[in-house]
Amino acid sequence: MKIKHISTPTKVARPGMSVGEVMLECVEKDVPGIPFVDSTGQLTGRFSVRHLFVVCCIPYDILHGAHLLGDDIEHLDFPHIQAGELMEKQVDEFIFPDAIRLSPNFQAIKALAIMEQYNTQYLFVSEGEEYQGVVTRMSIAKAIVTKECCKN
Amino acid sequence: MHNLTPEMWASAAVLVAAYALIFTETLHRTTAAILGAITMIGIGMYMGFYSQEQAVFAVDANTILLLAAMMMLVALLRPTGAFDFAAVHITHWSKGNPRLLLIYLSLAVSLISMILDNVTTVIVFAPLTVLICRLLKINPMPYLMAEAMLSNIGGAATLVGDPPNLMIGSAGGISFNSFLLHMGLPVLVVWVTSVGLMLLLFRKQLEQTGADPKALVATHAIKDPEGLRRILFALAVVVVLFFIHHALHVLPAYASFIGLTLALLLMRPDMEKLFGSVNWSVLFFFAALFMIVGGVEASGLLELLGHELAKLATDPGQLLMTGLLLMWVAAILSAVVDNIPFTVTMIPIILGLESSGVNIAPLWWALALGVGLGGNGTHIGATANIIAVSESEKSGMPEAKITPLLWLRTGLPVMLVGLLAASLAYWLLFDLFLTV
Repeated sequence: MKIKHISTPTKVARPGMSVGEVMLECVEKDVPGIPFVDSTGQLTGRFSVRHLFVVCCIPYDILHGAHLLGDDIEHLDFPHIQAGELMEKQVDEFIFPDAIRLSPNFQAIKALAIMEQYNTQYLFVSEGEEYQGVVTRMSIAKAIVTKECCKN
Repeated sequence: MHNLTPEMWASAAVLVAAYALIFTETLHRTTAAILGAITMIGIGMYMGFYSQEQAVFAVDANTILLLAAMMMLVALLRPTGAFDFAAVHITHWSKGNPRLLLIYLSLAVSLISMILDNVTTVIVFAPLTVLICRLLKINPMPYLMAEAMLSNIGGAATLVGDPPNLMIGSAGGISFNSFLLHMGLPVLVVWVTSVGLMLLLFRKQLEQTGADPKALVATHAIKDPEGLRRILFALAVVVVLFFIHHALHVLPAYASFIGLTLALLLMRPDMEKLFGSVNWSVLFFFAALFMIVGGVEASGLLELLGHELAKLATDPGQLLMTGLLLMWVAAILSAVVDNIPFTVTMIPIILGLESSGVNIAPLWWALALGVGLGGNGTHIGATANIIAVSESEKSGMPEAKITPLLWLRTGLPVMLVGLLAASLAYWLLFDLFLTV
């Protein structure tokens, strides 16, 4: 099963776009992140929903002491930076500099192994500089469940 | 100093160069120390004053092995959730009273630092403290500073509480009990004085009433109850052995390894993971420093320095003044530079004084008090302080940020008042300090 058959095409994040716009694309396409393409057209990083949450919404101490939190902690309600304010911020400052790209002809098993190796849920599929889409663990699982994998 | 030989000059040059690299942080301190050690051995071999064998024997294995064993015991204790459990209960006992919380947290950190490494104690407690303060809606800054400073003070009370004490105890043949007996009272006086001073200096921040401490729950704090029971048993054995190691004629390192072996047998941990948790960089830093100072000692320079100092210290009437001077110089230097290189250098000098007929016992205690309390003066004076500063930045709370100036405004008075209290205790109880 080649990943070109199971990747999800998405838009890319570009300099100056708002976090809200990029988040909306991730939510609509049901992907954990999308690539970031700089002003020269190079794919130089990625926007990750998980990274955004860690950086903006979960302070370090809460991350480490989550198991000690009681149920009645209303003043810690999500998020500690106002959501609206966050959505209006430019996406540029939340870009992760690494973006793992795979050729469309990669086998899904290799993609799964690379996801494990890099502790990530998703990888980008690109042919040279041309970005094609995101492949996720769930898109591979979906292909297996729907027997999509057997057709290729 | 007309007796200085080329060997002495060469060894001094290597020592000064290595320390300059360490203190200026041009290189990582371990890299700088290893570079200094191999240079010292190379030059020593070329000039004929130091050999590879002498360098190996210069490393105080008791210090290095004890630290390694304690690091592994802490690494086994930490994931059980014992510290989380303690922090939640301390918060509940304080009933949201900020002053009580400061006293209880400081007391807990000080007591733990008396047995376990104070840096580890602060690494564990600092994020918990920020979490507690976030939930109680109070500023974590006073608590982070108090924890760092009082862990330094608590660690000064015992042989195993702070690496300099371990080095001093090992060189001076001082037992765990003797250390506690001699240092306990001055440290207690300093502790009470410092807590009182901090309550005064932080009075504005501690005025705000905390929210309901029930926001923290201990239900899931203990992650491995069986593991906790086993590691606490092993630690209890270590503590008991520390109290009787002198009577049993065993070194503290051997005592700690008995406890570690017990823990390994009872817990069967993943050895790769456990050994990965040992801070090898710190251990190699210490070993390399011992080798550097061993080279200076072999060149005869430290003996010469000792003879010069002996002229002052052989007069019993001057011994008290020499001790006090050593304590203050050690403290001031420890406030601005790493106290370990200073301690490692002072140890052979003090040992050399013994051969000149000086009673060196009071000097050991003065050195231990000075290096133990001096670290509180500045934010870079002790590793625990740096951790507190870093945690305050990570908290993301602007009011929690600990700047170097803020540290100086609180740390310097705490250090100076602590030193005054320690000097007073040293002077009043000087007869006690005449023995080890």
